[in-house]
Amino acid sequence: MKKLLIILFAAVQTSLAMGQCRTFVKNNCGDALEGFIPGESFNAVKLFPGDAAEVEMTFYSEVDYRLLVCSHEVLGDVNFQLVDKDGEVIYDNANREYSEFFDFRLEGTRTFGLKIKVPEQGDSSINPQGCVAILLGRKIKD
Amino acid sequence: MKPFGLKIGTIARRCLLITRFNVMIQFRKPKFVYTPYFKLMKIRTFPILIALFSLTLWSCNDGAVSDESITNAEISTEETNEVSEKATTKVKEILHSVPSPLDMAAILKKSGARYDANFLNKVRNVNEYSSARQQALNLGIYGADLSYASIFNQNQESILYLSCTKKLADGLGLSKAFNDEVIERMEMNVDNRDSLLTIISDTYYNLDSYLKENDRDHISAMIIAAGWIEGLYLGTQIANSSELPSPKLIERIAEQKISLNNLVALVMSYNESGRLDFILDDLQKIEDAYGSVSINEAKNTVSEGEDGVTQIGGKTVIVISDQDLKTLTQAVSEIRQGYVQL
Repeated sequence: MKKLLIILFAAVQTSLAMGQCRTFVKNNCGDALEGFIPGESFNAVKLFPGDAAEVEMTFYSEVDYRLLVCSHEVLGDVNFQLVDKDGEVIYDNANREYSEFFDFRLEGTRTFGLKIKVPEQGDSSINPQGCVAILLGRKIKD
Repeated sequence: MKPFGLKIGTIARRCLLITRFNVMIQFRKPKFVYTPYFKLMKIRTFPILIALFSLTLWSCNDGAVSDESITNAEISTEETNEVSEKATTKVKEILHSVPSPLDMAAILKKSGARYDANFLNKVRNVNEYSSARQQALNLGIYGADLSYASIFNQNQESILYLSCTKKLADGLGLSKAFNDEVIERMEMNVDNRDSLLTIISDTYYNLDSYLKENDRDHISAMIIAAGWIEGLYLGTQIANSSELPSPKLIERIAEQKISLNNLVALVMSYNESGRLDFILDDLQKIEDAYGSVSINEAKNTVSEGEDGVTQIGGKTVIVISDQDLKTLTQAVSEIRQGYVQL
């Protein structure tokens, strides 16, 4: 019985968390992809200060991309980097005032790692958790 | 980070190794954020759980979540310190993202391919897919066909294929994420290709988020994998149907080897209880077929384009023989046939 309740609680919480993230993305992130065809995959996580996330993404050559890391303001300046297979940093938004998006195109098809880091916050009894969503828009040209 | 170009077995070992040495590494989605907390809780925290659970139910009944994206882990009693401590444990989430069938369809068009409806799964087949597995796989396949038809401005066929995907989505209980309004929007924007593509993308995005929200990630993985396979099927069929296929098209087909590794990792991350073993077996066959295709990536360079868009330079040198293409075409065709057969 105890196990069942725990499982039920975890399932309900998971569903709520994902639902909240989905609503957050819908209400707060779509506008930044204006002019781009949005991607079809839902990639979002709820993170605490100090948490990190990593996404491996394949990008085709000769496509104009907009990579958007959309996060709740409660998390502060979320840092993201694009890193190649040798670990070399291709882009770091810390060098662009923590801009939420990055526009780029590639000469050759590549898989890059997208590394996301939520900044630590000062000592506080409140431990805010917020949604971080990764969206990819592209321009489809003939 | 060196997950590139790994075989399935290697990736599996890598996952196991990472898990062994770093218990807090998470492979995906927020549900795992919660799991470790419960594993580590002592029995004395159980009453708190009951209270939290009741609060959750109350919250659901009330129909209101105080803030759509924030949860506050502050709990004041001494007994809950453990919960709070776990909540502050640093977590690393690892996700995977592969190009969609829409990207592959765009590549086909750009490389000079012709539209040929004979390669698509027959619309009439849709009524015969009754199991969840058949429906999920063919939701991916019809989605890729829909993208292909839309990219080539085959508007009436696009509407037909959208209806097929709607039917399969209904069969999978996804009506909430794919309602009749989508078809109406498609019909209203039938002459505007970019609008159609946006509607298709939005629809598949809604399906994907709905599935993940409802803990049906394995269905999402089936849709994504089958869509990717259909894209490759269309590419290889078009290449083989031409006496002199475009070198650009051949190059693009070979390049899929790069995203295949990422797709394998994605499917593995959702393969609880071995439900996706059959897809991993199929992807292994494709990986074997790609065996002698070589891809060499030049060092990446970064520069600013005239239009303000960052250019990431570094060519990719691809070597693929006629025999490689035949082997790949055969392997992909057999797998795809297995998915669409009634």
